[in-house]
Amino acid sequence: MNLKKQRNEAPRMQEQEEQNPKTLFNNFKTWLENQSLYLFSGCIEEKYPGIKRGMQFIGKSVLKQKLYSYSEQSCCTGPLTKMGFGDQDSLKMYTMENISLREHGESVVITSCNGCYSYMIKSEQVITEIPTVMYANDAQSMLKPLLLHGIEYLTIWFRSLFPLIKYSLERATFSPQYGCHYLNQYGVSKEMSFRNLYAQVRNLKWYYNSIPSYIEDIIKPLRGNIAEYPESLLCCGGSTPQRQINAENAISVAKKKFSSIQSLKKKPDVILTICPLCMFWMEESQLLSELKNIYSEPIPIIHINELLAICLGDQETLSQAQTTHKISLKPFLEKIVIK
Amino acid sequence: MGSCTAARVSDFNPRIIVTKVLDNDESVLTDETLWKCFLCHQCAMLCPKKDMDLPDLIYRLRQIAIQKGIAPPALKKLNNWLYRFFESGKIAGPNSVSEERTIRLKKVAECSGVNIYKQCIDELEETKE
Repeated sequence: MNLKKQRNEAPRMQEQEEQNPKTLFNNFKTWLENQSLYLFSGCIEEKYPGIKRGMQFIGKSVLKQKLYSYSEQSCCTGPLTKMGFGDQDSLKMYTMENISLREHGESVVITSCNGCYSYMIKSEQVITEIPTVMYANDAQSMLKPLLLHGIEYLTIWFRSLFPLIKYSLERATFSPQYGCHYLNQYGVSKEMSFRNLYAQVRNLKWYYNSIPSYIEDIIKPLRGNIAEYPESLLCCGGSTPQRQINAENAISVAKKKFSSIQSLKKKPDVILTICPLCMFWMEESQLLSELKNIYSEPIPIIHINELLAICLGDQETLSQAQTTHKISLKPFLEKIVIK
Repeated sequence: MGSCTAARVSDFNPRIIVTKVLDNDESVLTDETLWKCFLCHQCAMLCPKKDMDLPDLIYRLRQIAIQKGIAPPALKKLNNWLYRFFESGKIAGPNSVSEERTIRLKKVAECSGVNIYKQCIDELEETKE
């Protein structure tokens, strides 16, 4: 064997291997399995503790990963920046403060909140390029961790979770709600982000405003039904500042969204979301007098973390979901059947 | 415009905001529609000019308006967020960080140079006295 040729070819072979999306995806999974993870929770999640509990149950109890959260973690300050109270520098500094809480060498931050996700990216104190963190040395990976959205994490491990799921969703119909702060990612690297990598693995053409397939890729194997509605990709209107200072606009946006859902021949049993703020506002708005005329029964909302943890048999998540949701999940939960 | 969340339900028109900025028209800071943007980033995703970060422009205009003291009075409704953040580390929910941590959050605010943060911290200190 010509050693010089072998050495010259080796980096190119590695580069080709790295760029093959399926290989990169598998390598990333292997890498991720050995990492410590920081679970960052949004303020709005405090209204729905089942979201955090669900992720902790899945990450620690089921997948046996090293998942840590910190009670000293503060608000991401995204909403303060959004309204002009803060600026780019303050956003950066508060993100650095939160990231500095890491005590276990966490190289990945996971958040189940779209707002926290988008504002941490904007702070430029996290990275979204998978190969950069995978092939970095320890010092680099410690300074700026990889940021993953909770739905991305669940998608990565869904195949491992699937055999453990106790329930079939065949009697239930879901309408997806990704939420604008995830769908309209600005600043996420197109080439090497998880979203692009996954789209390539799924042979979906990725373009800047493509629609993810995560919810469908989880629900369909569980035999659930998907009911898309015309406004599913649009904002729910839940922007907290707008709800406070231009409430009529926030309500009008919600009205359009629910009119669109109500126009479906087969209405969903539940709206499935990846964003706690969408969940909060879509519940809250349905109970307002301005929207009560649109439909006979409000539609419950559930977060993907809650749904998966419940389907994996976590009673605590189930209990928290039943007690904290304003629109009862009971009719939907009655449709989940044991396999 | 058809995909703009705010334009669909109000008189918000992002083109007017951008035109005023390009014309160096300071009335953009007192334009009440500046505060109607939902910052959903739909425009940033759809605009063929990829360097045009309109939501970023909106953030910055809002910051300038607040620094100059010309933000709408309705914004005062959000002051409770600021107080809550500096008292408990969160803007919503029942939980709080430790006192040591809130001291640190205030120090970060002082280093950041954001006037409204400093103002809010001073007000909180005065309340305690």
